[in-house]
Amino acid sequence: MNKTNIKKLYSLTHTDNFDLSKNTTYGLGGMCRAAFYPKTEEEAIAAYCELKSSGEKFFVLGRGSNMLVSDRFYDGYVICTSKLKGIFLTGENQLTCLSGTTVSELMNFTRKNGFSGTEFLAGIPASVGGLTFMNGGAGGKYISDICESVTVFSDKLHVFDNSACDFGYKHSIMRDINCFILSTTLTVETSTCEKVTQNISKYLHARLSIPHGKSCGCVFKNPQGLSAGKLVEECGLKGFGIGGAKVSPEHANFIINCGGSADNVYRTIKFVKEKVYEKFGVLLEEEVVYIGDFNDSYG
Amino acid sequence: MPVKIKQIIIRTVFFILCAAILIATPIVVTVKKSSASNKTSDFMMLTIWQVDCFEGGKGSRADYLQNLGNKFKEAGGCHIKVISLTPAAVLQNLDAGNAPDIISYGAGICGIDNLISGRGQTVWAHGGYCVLSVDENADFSDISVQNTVVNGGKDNFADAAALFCGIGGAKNETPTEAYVDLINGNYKYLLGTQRDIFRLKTRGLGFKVRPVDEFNDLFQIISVISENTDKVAYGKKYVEFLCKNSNQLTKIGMLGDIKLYDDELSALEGVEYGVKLTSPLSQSQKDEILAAIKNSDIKKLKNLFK
Repeated sequence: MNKTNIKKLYSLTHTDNFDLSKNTTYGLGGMCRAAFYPKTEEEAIAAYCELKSSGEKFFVLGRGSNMLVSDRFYDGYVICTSKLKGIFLTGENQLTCLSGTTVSELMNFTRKNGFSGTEFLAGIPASVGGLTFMNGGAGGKYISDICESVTVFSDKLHVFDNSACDFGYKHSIMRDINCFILSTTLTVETSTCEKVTQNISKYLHARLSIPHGKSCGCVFKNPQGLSAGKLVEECGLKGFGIGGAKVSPEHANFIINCGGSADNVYRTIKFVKEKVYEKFGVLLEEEVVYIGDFNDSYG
Repeated sequence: MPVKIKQIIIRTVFFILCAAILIATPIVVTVKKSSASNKTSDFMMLTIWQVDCFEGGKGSRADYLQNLGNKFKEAGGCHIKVISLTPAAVLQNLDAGNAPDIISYGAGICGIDNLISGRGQTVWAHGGYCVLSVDENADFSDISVQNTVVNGGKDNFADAAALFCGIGGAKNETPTEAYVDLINGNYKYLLGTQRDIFRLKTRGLGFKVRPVDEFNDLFQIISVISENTDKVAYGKKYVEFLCKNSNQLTKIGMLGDIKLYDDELSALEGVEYGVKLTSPLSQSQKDEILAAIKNSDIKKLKNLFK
């Protein structure tokens, strides 16, 4: 236990023996040593630096919506961005959101102030930092479409403009480098409260077709020119599952946790990958991020 | 051992121990302090709001402050985060209770006078008004209201500069419109700024420059406004660092207290201004200034700019 190395961090709001299963959309995950909740960018830098220099294992957790966390004990720490919130107007058509700001908070802000352009994100159970990290989005639109710049901390502060973020399909440079996303600046358009509310309702309505149940959203990235869900479906895997994990009968790119374990979900993902590869020769790439160790034997 | 010698040895040992404690204590304290202060700077971050109230020269002033901020950190300072805000966004954020640790602004901003009151204001860069002409025969002797167009700028008092130059009421246009009107020959002269010099240079046009020394309000000012003592200390160090590096102002085409240019921009260096505005105004002061400009009341204008 290297608690002494990071004891300064215990002055931050924290939870010892943090239960990850209560903080991921899958509802899965084991315990970890502790979670720290920075409220300011300085506290976030402190947490990141201290943990990095301590050599301890750690990861940054937003809303836990695109990850599968092992049920085993995670012998490390978590930096939760859930208290690192705030939206600032930085220009006539520019908003800067601290990374823990949730999509729903962003929607409330834009609706109240009559800014359009972010409505396509409505209903995504994610933080702005998490969306930036994954270049998340919906309906063919991505956060990169409205991202002006991202402020990150690695060894020092960096402000990446949109092109420096190297955004791609479900990718940003932040996935390739070891860094902490502090804030994202978005470009918006002046609109009216009514219009923005209408747009948000439209996008929320479109999300009603998304499978219900505990999931991480889409498990696989779409291969170039193909639909991952369609490939899985054509393998006859809709409804298939191992243990309490099940490929959604509604959308085959969703694997639902119906009361199983993280290992069950993991094995189901691996099984689906194998079957798609056997049938189509296409190796699906996971969009979901794995945290911790998994048992991938089907036995 | 005789008792006397024993006593001498005991006293000597006691003296040496006391001396050692006295000498060592400040060292330990110093080391502890320095380690604590280094730790503070490792995590401390100062947020700077850069407010562009007037056109610069080239490049971004926010990027300039950020780059120097990164160097400041490397030189033992703290992290610096620069956010570029419009004057309107500044006021909205202040209303919402958000404030930075440092604010960099132009004199033309209004509504922050209370915020920076008593905080110290340092000019870290400036621009300058000038009259430009692309007419090779221009000698500036015939500048008039009719043949001169004014680059209206942003939140600066370009019309005051025109008034002080004796061309009050000359056509005021947006920066681009004024520039286009000059190069299209619609006007012989443009009352512009260093930004127009860069516009003309970029286009590769030959031009003549006459600096306006009657008035200037194109000052980029910085104030440390944090309430936190540690942040104020680092903020002041950053401002010193910024001013020490004024030789880098060529990167943003701005002017400093030292000679930086040997091209057309050098005409704007070392100018002594008759009237200067180097502090932000309240809304009522701004309204009075605008009214004085409208009435061409130079005397009142001079008083208001004092």
